[in-house]
Amino acid sequence: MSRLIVGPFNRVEGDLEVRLDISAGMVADARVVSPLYRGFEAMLVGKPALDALVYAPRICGICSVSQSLAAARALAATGSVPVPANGGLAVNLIHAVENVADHLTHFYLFFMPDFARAVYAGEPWHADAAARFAAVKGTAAQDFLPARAELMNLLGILAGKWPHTLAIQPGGSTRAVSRAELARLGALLAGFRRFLERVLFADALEAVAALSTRDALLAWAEAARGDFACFVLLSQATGLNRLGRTDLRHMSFGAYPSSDGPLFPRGLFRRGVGGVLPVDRITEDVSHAWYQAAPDGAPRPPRDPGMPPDATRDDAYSWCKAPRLEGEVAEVGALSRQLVAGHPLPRDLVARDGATVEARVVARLLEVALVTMAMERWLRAIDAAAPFIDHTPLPAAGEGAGLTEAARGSLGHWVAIQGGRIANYQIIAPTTWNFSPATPPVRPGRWNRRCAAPRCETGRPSRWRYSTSSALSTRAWSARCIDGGASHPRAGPCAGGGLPAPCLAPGAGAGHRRQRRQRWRGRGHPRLGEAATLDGFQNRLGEGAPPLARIDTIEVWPHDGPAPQGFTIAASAAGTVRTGIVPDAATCPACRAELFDPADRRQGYAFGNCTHCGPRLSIVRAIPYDRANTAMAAFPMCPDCAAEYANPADRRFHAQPTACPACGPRLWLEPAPDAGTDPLDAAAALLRAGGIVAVKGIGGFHLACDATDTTAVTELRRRKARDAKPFALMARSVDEVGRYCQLDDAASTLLRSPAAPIVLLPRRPDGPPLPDGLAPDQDHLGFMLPYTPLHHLLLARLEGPLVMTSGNRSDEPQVITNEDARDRLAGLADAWLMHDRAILNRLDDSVVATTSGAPVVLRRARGYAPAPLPLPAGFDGLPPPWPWAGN
Amino acid sequence: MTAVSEPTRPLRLLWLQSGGCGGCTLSLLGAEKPDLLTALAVANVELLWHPSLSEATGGEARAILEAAAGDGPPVDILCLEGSVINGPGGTGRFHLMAGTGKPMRDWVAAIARRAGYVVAVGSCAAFGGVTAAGGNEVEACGLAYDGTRAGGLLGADFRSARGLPVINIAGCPIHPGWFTDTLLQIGAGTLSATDLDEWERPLAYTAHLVHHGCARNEFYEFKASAEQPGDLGCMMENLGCKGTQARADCNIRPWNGGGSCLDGNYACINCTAPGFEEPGHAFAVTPKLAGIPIGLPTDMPKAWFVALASLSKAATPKRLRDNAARPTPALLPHDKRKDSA
Repeated sequence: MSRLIVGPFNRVEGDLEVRLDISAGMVADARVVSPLYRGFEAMLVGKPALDALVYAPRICGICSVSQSLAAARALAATGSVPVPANGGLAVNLIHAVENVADHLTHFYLFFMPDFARAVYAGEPWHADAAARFAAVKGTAAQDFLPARAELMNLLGILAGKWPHTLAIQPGGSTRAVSRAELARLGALLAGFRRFLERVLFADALEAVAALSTRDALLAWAEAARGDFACFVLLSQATGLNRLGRTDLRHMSFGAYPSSDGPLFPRGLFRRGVGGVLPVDRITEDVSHAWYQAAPDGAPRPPRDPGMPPDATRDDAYSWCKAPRLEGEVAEVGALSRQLVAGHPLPRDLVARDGATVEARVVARLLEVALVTMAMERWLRAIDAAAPFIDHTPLPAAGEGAGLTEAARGSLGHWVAIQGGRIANYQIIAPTTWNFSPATPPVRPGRWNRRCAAPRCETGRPSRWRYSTSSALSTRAWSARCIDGGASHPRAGPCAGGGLPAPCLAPGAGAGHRRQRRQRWRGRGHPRLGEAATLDGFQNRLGEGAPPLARIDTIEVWPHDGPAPQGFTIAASAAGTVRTGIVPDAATCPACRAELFDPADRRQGYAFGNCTHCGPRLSIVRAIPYDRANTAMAAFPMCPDCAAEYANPADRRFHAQPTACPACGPRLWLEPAPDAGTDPLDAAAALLRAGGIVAVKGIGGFHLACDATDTTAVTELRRRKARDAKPFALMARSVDEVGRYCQLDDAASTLLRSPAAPIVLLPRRPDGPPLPDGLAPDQDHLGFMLPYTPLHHLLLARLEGPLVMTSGNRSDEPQVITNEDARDRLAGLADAWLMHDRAILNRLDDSVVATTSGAPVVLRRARGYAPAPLPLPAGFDGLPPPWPWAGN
Repeated sequence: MTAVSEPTRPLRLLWLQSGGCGGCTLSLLGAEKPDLLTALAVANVELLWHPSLSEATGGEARAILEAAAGDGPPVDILCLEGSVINGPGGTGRFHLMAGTGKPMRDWVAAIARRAGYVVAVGSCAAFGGVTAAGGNEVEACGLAYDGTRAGGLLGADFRSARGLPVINIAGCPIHPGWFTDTLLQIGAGTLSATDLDEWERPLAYTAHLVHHGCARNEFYEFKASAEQPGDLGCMMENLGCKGTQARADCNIRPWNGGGSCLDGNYACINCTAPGFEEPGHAFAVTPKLAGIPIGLPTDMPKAWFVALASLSKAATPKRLRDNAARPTPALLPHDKRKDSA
């Protein structure tokens, strides 16, 4: 065994050392050392809160804006500081310029020069690569640096300067831009696009963004002539798709928020499966970092103050703390971001080869194309006449987290303020995720893993490739932690959708005495009888089950004592929770029929439902799924409803959210219409007149307007400051959808399914004309059908489809409470159609596309969440499950 | 001006980084007119090693450092970006040069003592800068200063082989032009002590105040003040702006093609000055005594300033008064002849 110490490393942003233990020519152990400590977190304590905006960007010169943004968001989160639409757009643009410049700086100045090294002199491609990419002297640097400088000119206008701007504030951007400046910014951006399309890609950005498989990428690279194609070919020649392979959870905090969600979402991804990121399960470990151990020895969450440095520890070797997610290493960066976002190209690369050097570089450059196109849209969405900043003051005390994505990966700042001054400030930078020291039990950081496999070429250590870029000036963290233990075994049972009378009816016919008991372990069906009959009963249990029922397991155990009499549903018993909640479901045909039946007591009532349909996850406060644990607890059942609820033969037997006009939620319009006017009639009249109405739905508020009214659509787009992203549409029937779009059976079935998602459908060329502003430059429209009685009643009063877009402002999630709707949708809506059934879980509309008849869920939320996704093979025995929810 | 003969061989430049953010290098990459590569070529400078830009790595890089520090030809220009780190307890262990196990501070000192020119790039390397903020836990200082106190790593009397003190291109970050101007002067052999100010900063940019060329000058004249970040008015009275005292040409030599802090609608924080990192008040709030800002222009009698300010406040045109506390102008200049024509 011998030890090789490699360093200083070139072309990183900061200082880095690698220690290798070598045995029989192979690397036996690798340690990545960050040898510099700067102490930012301690520095910030005691400073006036807003001074963080001065210090934070100076943590890192290459991701200065990301640091500003994380600080501004953390400060804003200590209170409630709204960001006007322009502020969000301007900050996105500033952030995007930095991130795109970082990707290209990494590519042209840090990464590609390695191909020019003498060690490759024998390769047939070396002479060309050296002429193009040699450090400082190659022609690529001469092309790139002026293009980078001109891109940075956007920041001269938008941010005063780069790096280290103070333009980014909790309430938006200090720098309002005029229409003339918007035009100039557009021209600068066009110049940058031209550089990308002539030099880097030698093809349209759209063509790069559309590459979806490794095969397509290779075919494209054979034909293209730009520097990216050159990389792809060199990567094949040098096998970069086999180097630096990891198999970790990929993590993204999400980036570039807008009124209709972030450009890149927050989440996790591993082995083909996405998941929700439990941010509160991030901790920092100092087992092998030069910090004092916490008194309890445990890793600490970043909300807690860090421990002071301790350079005397013999068991430590780095100034990087080790951030962990649920106790595990996670990978961050452009590849992780694009895997989480679901772009097909990186997903295909990783499915074939794992996360490799090649995949990481491809993801960076793919992101250059995607983000540049998004910048063009954001620029167009800025309204020079509207405000760029909100001046709501910060509270004197509070805590907040600011999460964003630097080019190199997830960045988080956690702040606590007391008396207007910073009481605690903790930073977890991307580099610490990727370059962290080991934590017990030996769980090396990502880079350690990357190093430990390949054969060591002693004497030629410089052939290493690290596509992980590091921003090492960002270290200086403190100790924090969490215990990463798993708590919920991933039990399958996910009942609660009502396994009521119908599925029990067969048993009743067979003359059995049954007892049904709801337990926190799920709903079991203990029963009494002879073995053969009982088997038959068991087999038939699922046959008559209602649409929403799902039996995951049936537990059978012997019964002692006297046989119970009759059929009862026992009260839920306390125990370990193993059930889940079923998704919300669209109004079923029976309930819809009642809605328009003049003889029915629920005719015209906006909140009817039964065991086949209605709100579920959106109204659940706790499990087990009983009315007392839902938003319906506020509405005691009237005798009629209670009778239906108790009758096993009724469609509403144990329908937890059941309601009627006598006892259930009520509907109203604000501002109130003339006395005596039905709120739905008034809302319909407003919509017909071109108004915009906020409509409270199942999982949040929508903003609705007449989809056939060009003026209304344009106005809605202006008020939301929404760029070119298409609006979702709601039509009263499949037939009406068919007037505008081409429909096949698969699409019709999807539209009618209980999930009632937004289905992306190709427009009919011969369809009736619709405003261009609905879905600019799109040949598809996103349609859904009414999925609540309220929607049915509203659509029935109108002649055509409605725009139903999420009710929110830029940078904010969809509004779910009435108070927030009044407050945050002021200026966006002309009226509010509201009700008093609380939405407890926010759920966006799900979005589904069909390809060759097969549905592909693009956004898995209302109607799908929280139904479990099966884990692929290889995940058996995975200890900590990831909580699933609408995302 | 000391005449120095034109070098025939390229000047060999070694760039090291210690306690800083690397932002000065990143800023420098954005140099325009001339761009960085042109400036290097025209100044006849060969980049011996730069941690972000060079091909040499590991053992190759160590060999370059060892040659520069002792047994090889000295470097012509040593640039340090980032503070000198002395902690903890004077050991320098908070920054050991990767691959060497030796404090970066010691490498810098050894190489500087043989170098032709020693350049502190940015306020960290010059004075300690942001890395020295707070309690200065890491014991950061500059090459020749510890804040405003002469000394630093190399001592108050340090002179490089070419007879110059450490050249302090202070700023957080540097404007790329401040560096390329200095480099071109070094390359031309014309840089002398008379080109440096009292803190050994190049007069090329510190002969000016940030106030010079500020687009808000008219608001300043009439003391029409901004009240919130993003307002158009002068930011001196309320928002902490130090442009009337700060030494730099930020509003004459545009940043990133056309900007500056003031053009970005936020205050100048005097980042070229030693000790700027600890202003003793919130950065974006002007400290006042009896309603009068404490930090008035340094070379103007305070009584005069107050008297003139009251007069000019009384004479403020409506246009400026109305526009000062808004993010976009309510009233624009207007030629009255057009109305009577």
